[in-house]
Amino acid sequence: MTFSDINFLMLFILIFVPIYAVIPQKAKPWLLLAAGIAFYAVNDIWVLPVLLVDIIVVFALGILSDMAFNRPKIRQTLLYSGIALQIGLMAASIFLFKNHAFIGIGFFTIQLVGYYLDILRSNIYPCRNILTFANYVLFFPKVLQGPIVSFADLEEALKEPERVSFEKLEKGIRTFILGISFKILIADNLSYLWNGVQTVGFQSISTPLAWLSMYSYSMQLYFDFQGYSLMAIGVAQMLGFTLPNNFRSPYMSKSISEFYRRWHMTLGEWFKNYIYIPMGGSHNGAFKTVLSLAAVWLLTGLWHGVTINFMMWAMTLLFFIILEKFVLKKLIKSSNIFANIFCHIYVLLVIPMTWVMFAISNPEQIGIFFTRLFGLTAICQPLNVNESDILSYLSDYAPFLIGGVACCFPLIEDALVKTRIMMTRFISFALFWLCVYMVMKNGNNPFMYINF
Amino acid sequence: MKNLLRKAPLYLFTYISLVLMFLLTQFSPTLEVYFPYFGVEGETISAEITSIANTIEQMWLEPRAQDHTVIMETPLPDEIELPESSDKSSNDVLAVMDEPTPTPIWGEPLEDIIAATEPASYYKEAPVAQSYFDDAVFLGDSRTEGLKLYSGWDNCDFLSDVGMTIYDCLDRDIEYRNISHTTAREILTTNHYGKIYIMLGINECGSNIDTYINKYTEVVDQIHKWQPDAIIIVQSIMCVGAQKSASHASINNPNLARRNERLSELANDFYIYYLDINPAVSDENGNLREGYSFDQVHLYAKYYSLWCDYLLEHGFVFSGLRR
Repeated sequence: MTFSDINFLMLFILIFVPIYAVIPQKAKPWLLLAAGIAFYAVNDIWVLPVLLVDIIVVFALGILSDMAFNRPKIRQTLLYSGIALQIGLMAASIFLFKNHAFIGIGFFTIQLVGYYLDILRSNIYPCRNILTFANYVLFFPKVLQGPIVSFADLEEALKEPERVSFEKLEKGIRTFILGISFKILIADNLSYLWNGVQTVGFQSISTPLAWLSMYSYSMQLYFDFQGYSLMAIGVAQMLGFTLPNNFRSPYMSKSISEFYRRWHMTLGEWFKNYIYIPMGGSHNGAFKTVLSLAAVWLLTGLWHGVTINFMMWAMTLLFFIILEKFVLKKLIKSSNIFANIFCHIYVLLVIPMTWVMFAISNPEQIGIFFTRLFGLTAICQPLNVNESDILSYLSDYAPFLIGGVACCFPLIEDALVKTRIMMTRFISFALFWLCVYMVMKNGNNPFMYINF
Repeated sequence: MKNLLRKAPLYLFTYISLVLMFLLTQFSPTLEVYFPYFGVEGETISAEITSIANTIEQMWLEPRAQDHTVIMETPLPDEIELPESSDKSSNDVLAVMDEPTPTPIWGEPLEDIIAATEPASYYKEAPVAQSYFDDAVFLGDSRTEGLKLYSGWDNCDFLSDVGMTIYDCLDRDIEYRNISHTTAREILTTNHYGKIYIMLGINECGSNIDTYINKYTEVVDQIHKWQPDAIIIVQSIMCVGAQKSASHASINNPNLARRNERLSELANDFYIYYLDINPAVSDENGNLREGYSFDQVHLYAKYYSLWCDYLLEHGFVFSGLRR
């Protein structure tokens, strides 16, 4: 069950929010925990026991390390073995329990490792309240796909939840509707385009279609993830919690490094705080900078998946980020209008091409895609290409492509969430029902992805 | 409440409208919605509707459920059971189903019977040249659409659409050459064809097999009426990949094989022929060969030539008359 599931909408908006709003303050953490467990159980009941045990282990190790505060060796051993255990669990979930997708494991792992590291550096006290801690891990708005939040940022709010305010309720539902619109109306529709191109086979697509599908996939990825993040933020906001933003119009960036400060920001922050800066960061000479960057991107690649394409993706980005740090620095900082235009074009060329590596798991297929992208017929002979394929794709997907491009600018996002005029509320309301209609239509169609 | 309206109107209206929708769906049985956790299961409802439709169809088809071959072998007009078209209940049913013509398929079998007793044209499978398809038309779903896009053939016609089924193939809104909205019915009643290739059945392979075959028979008969000079080639439903076959309740190769078996019985070797195209793309286990498809159902564009070549290898050529 995800946030765009009609059952979630009904249960959450109709039942959960009103109940949560009226029950006594003291009961709220318990209700949250129950909701967290239920939400996880609906998605993956088999892994829930593992997760609950994991929560207890991390909690216990935190307390034990606090007891051993005066014996640094033992304390460090405890915490490091905790980290090892956590990463081991993630590795096990990837390699051993292949049949059971351990939902959200990447997000748990990264947050719990962050928790250990925070204790180790004495940034926080270990949590002494198991209820608060379990709520932190199982907080249902962020349990599946983030945003990644540190324990310190949520602790207070979880210990004594705020009262539900009408202002936050309204802001939350607007954020939620924007998110569900991004996901259902743009990302899900564009996903059919990419799916279609894969069905045809990369060897048989025309060069214009290769470009179109690359940009379409770039938007699909953005609106899918940003949509989900906004829904999570909105859901939390309706209950009075504040989750951090995950995206800030990334395609408007002027450099790859900037792009990744605006794309999946909570993950970027995490790597900055727990890997990049501890390893030396950018203030300790060129060698350490490169080394820290390499570590960050190696781990980022691994975190996304243990297949070769993610490594290619991460290493390409590493290359461009190093290039920017040492070569393109001046150009990027320049305020010259031509330099600006150049930088935007550069980002909008490089980033979609890196997404190709992200999207296609087979390196050979990635190669074929690039030969079609640049029309390198000498390297790979195209087969049965329908030269006018782009026309039918354009006519089928034009509304979603145009909508997607428009929503890459921050304007629409700001208008729907921040303005207080009635008009935008009407639009939100209409969008909500359009989404519900689409969800019901597709949910009702057993052939949603397989209409032949 | 007043505060809520003032400070959170969007939430309030969303709430009210969701409640209304919930009530509506609970008390209106015809509305198809998907609520697995709320007692109303969308899939069950559509399954029920399909089964009701099936029953109605069965009731209607019952009196005329005859095999082709029977007619071929027993050409005496008085032996053929004519359906009671005056039956009131079936007329009512028809009105409900909004069928365009209440004429049963075997209502006027004379023409067929005479044709069967006359010396008949006789076609044989043989390799053919590309020009063979000059007067051919392909009717089918997305796979035929793929054939249209990636065969490179432009001397034949394609009446295809993603999601097409035998049930809606004649009246579905399709694109044909430069016409963006038309139907197969319109094209088949205007143009003149020599060969009509059909491949339909993957979208509706979850439906009842008898209903499917009955409808297929009906469509073939209808097309034959419009195109009496054409031969109709019923292609087998193309198999799917092994993974899909092992994991899907209805889209699996044993089920498709059962259907193909029944389809092959439609052939009368007179104006209806059956062509099993699976040898072109399947492995020794009857699955679509590994690596031929991204989604296990549609061939990669580059492999459409296998299908094309197979069709060229197995044309149906006129080989004289027979008694």
